[in-house]
Amino acid sequence: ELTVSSWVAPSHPTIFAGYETYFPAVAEASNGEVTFNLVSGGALLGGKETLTGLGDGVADASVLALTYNPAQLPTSQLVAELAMLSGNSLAVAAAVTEFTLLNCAPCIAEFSKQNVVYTGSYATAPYALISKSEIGKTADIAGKRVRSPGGAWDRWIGEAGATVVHTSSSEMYEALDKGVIDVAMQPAASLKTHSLWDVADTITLGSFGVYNSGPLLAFNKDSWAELTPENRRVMLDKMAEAIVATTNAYVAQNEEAKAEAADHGMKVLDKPEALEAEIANFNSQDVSAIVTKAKDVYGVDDAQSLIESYQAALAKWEEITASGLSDEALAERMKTEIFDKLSETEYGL
Amino acid sequence: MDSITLVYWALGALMILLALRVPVAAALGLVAIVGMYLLVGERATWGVMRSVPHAFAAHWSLSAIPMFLFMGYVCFSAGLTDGLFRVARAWLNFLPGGLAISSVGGAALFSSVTGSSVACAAAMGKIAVPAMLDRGYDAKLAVGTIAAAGTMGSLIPPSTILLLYAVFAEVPVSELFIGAVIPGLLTALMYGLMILLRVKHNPALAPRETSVDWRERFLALGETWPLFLLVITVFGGIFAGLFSATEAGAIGALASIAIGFAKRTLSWEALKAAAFETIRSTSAIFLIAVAAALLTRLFAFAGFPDYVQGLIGEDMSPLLIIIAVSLIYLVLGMFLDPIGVMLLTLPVLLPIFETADISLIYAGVMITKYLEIGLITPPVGLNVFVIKNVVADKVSISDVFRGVGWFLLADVVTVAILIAFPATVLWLPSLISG
Amino acid sequence: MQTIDLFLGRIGRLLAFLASLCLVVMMFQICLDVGGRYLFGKPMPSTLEIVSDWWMPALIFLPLLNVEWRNENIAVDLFYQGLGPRAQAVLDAFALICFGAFLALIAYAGFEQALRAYRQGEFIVGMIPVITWPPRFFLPVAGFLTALLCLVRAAGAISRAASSQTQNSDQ
Ligand code: NA
Ligand code: NA
Repeated sequence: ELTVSSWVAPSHPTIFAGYETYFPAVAEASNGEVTFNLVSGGALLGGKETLTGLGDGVADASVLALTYNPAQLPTSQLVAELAMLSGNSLAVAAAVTEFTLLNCAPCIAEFSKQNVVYTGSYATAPYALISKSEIGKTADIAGKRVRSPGGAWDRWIGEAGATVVHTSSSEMYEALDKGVIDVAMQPAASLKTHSLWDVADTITLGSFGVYNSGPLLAFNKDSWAELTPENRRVMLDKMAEAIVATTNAYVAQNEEAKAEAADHGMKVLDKPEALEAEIANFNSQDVSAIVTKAKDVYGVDDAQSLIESYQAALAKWEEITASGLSDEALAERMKTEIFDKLSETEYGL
Repeated sequence: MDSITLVYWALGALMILLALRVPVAAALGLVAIVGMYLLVGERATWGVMRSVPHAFAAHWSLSAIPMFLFMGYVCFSAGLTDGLFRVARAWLNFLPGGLAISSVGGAALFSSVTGSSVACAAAMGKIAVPAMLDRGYDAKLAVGTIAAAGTMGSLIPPSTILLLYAVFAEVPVSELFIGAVIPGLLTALMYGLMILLRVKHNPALAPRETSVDWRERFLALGETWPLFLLVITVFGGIFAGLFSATEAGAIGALASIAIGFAKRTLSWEALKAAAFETIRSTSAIFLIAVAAALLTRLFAFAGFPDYVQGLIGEDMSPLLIIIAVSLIYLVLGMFLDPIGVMLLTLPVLLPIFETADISLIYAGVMITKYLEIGLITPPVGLNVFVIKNVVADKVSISDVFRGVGWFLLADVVTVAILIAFPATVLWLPSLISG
Repeated sequence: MQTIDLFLGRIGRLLAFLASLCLVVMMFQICLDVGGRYLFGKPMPSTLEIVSDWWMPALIFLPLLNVEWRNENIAVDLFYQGLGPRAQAVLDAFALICFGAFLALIAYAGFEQALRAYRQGEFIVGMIPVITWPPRFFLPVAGFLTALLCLVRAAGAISRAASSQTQNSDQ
């Protein structure tokens, strides 16, 4: 039995969709040899200390948020800097997973140095601006305090002349209510999950991209090594379904909240033209800024080639998802394109 | 030995260590460490010890506590609080135990601006306990009043506990906050009533004040204007949505320093002493909280959530579930910190509530009330420790626990009313949810 | 023994003084943050991160030595007051050993973690990047010194217990 730690509530898509898909599938395929004991809600490890705790063997597996640990995972979390490139959640999840597992040797080395095995990332629903006043163009957030999850959004907010604030998501409600922040950058789902529609008046949907820096289930390296090769194969084979399920659940939650937003007195601005143009402009000139930030802040020297590699993976998966595959077909495609290329007798050992 | 048996042994060992006068932090911490070592082995135990203490300390949400402590110590050192109690004496002299009752009222008011019970108890303790002791109040009544009244900090909104619950249960924070208002006021009312009855029965507990004429009353009011200004700034700022609790604490501390210097009642030496007392209290209290957080890890490793799920039968009626939950929280609250208990139990309890069709708003308010009671139950009662810390050698820990006993009784009545009439919680939210 | 005790007392006072400074700095920083936000539309950069990762651990861990030196750690009195001096000395020694052991354990574990963070150059990125490894040393430093103090005082309590035993047998 593997102990799985997560600092989020059971109502979080990674758990009710991702793990609810993954745990039974693995248990069945391994003939009950691998089962899971989930300790959620941060009763074992909080967000910030999860990476080191997982490496130390406090738990056998856990969800991660790479943006908490830029010093330990400088290369792996570069994708966070590219979050605004795409709002296609499924394509992003697949692209980050493929890029990290197959095309980013330094990423895997970083995880390994933390005694952790990476096995794929989910992606959230598209981010939006949740605020008390209307935001139709970049200038509307100038001088405002904006809660950001990090990465690319920090740069965008900074360039827009606003101030970045990093509160935890559980503190957003009070922060917005008390005016500690003016704007929360969050998926529309948080209107409902965090009751933000009680304290905000407007939501601006836009091409802000998705959060892509969440490995769904990373393993302690020793625990991974103790599994039989057959069981490791099973764990890799079932991962794609879980990633697709999690990502889809995020999107579904998001659509639901968007549909109910107006009933809660929210004004919904759907991709205001001026703002969209400005975001496109930001994205087109952005890569050089990322390369500089990667070098100066994170100490990653060859960011340019890694970024290009990620962009290629993203383009590939955007094309694949555009062809309108079913969820099963997409998971199957991820399995053959990504996970089948990992060897259960070598990967993560 | 199965893991739950181990947990019970650990709790037994904890009681013995505490009885042997081992410091609370050490008793909690050692039991947690040895228990984890036996249960999950060396590797995971070291992992927990490496990360938990620092991670627990390095949190923004807890930073309101030292700020409000500092404000309380400074107000006290600068004599700003003397006036407040002259006012309370002047205006409430007709009530038996007026000072204790007005302390409950003050704590309720303070609760409406702070999200933390410990911060509430700390700030009120520094201000109100010395005032009551000076007037010849029974020491146990004085400390018990503040330790218990402090628990309203997390019940009356805003409240970090309610906020966390709302995120976990995905219920609207506003409805939860509003739902806690009546239970919070009911708690204050019960405490006040209990004080009144006890003092009526035994007037020696609280010396009666001499009669005061109206001129004197308004005079007393006039003398305390700086404190009122401070209170209005801090409370008003929070209500108006200008700043958060931590910010209010910092502004309040700075403003009280400024007022103290302007009135020439605060010296550099006194300010320095207030800062030292603040950090020493912060350290002593948080070390216990860190150790309690370690013990929570033992419970998590032992699969306590599943055990709790097993305790609550599938076919229990909602009323039985609420009663079972009260008992579970009563026991856990004796030993663990409130947030730890909640993180540990909510993942299993929420689905049970949903299946039994118990309103999650109602459950959240009840759970918060239970967690608050846990702050004053022996052997580990954070609010009791705070008060003990604040009054230093004047009263012993056991006396604080004894003083709190009567308030626990009042809480039993409060909880009984909340269980008998769920509308006390649900009526106000129903008005806003439509 | 007495000299070590006095020496630790002085260090404890120094650490507590540092923590007091952190408290005051934290207060000013938060006030400036609020003031800057309303008056100039420019809050202090990364206040939240600095308060959480620097000032909170400082306030909580640096005063440990001073608190223990003044005997202000919270314990529950049940029968202690009713005991004779020898039994009290025995319980004192036991309590001190337990407290010292607990602090030594978490200080050692914290030291490993701090060293690791130092080697990785741990930082977080907000409005400005904030280095976060140095405050990780607050717990190990204060914790070890406090454990040392507990050890010294436990030895004192044991010798007190032993000497009162001799006195008893003499009578
Ligand atoms: Na409150
Ligand atoms: Na308790």
